[in-house]
Amino acid sequence: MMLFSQARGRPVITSSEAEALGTVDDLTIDPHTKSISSVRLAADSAHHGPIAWSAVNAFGPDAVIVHSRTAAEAGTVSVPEHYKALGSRVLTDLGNEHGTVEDIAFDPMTGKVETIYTSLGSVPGEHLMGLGSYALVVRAA
Amino acid sequence: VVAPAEAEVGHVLGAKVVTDAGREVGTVLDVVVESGAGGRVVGFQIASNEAAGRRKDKVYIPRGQTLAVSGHALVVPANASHFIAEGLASFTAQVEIFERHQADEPSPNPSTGQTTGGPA
Repeated sequence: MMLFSQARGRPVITSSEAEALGTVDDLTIDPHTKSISSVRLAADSAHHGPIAWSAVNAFGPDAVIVHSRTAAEAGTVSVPEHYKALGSRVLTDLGNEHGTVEDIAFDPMTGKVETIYTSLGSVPGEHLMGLGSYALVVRAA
Repeated sequence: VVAPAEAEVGHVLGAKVVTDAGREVGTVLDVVVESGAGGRVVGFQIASNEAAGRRKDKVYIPRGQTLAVSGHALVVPANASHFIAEGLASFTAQVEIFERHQADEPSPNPSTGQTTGGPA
């Protein structure tokens, strides 16, 4: 288990060239698969553009390992649009407000969203229904 | 003219040592070069951190086969950290064991690329 807040600032390094591509700025969630679809790097990074989760070899406790710069660039085409999840308003599918997103726990092996921590309590990852510019939508428990 | 090993030393000293599983195990203090005409780099002396599970500060790690080095980092296979030696004498033996171990495994060749799928 790893938190979005912990992932931020983690260096991204290639294993074939030991090249530092940059640091993690944010993670993009695909609400359909309820998983992380890509890793976004900070603006001052050497690598620009999101890195697809499929290109990530290991999301380790100290660094994110990508096989190569080529692998990092290859997966950027089909990445879905990014909406910032942390701080987002949370709504249930019945239209009720459920606070704001404080943090998100995910499985660093699979990228699966495990728990969404909101200001009004935690929501299981499988209850995630949608994420857009206005809100993150969860299924009412 | 700078020998390749010396050139490498110039770049890699102080670099972070990170496993391919994304765990930082220390920083590079020195490079261990095989004696004799070859001058092959066989491993690195690193200042290990707590993640390496060692109390002793200076340890040796074999070069391995999937290693990549740059001014930023030294990436070692995750299994290389099991072969950490605490002195140069035992390090020589560890390198031999490690290289035999690598030769026995069918898939550690980096040129074949093990990039598919998510994190290992």
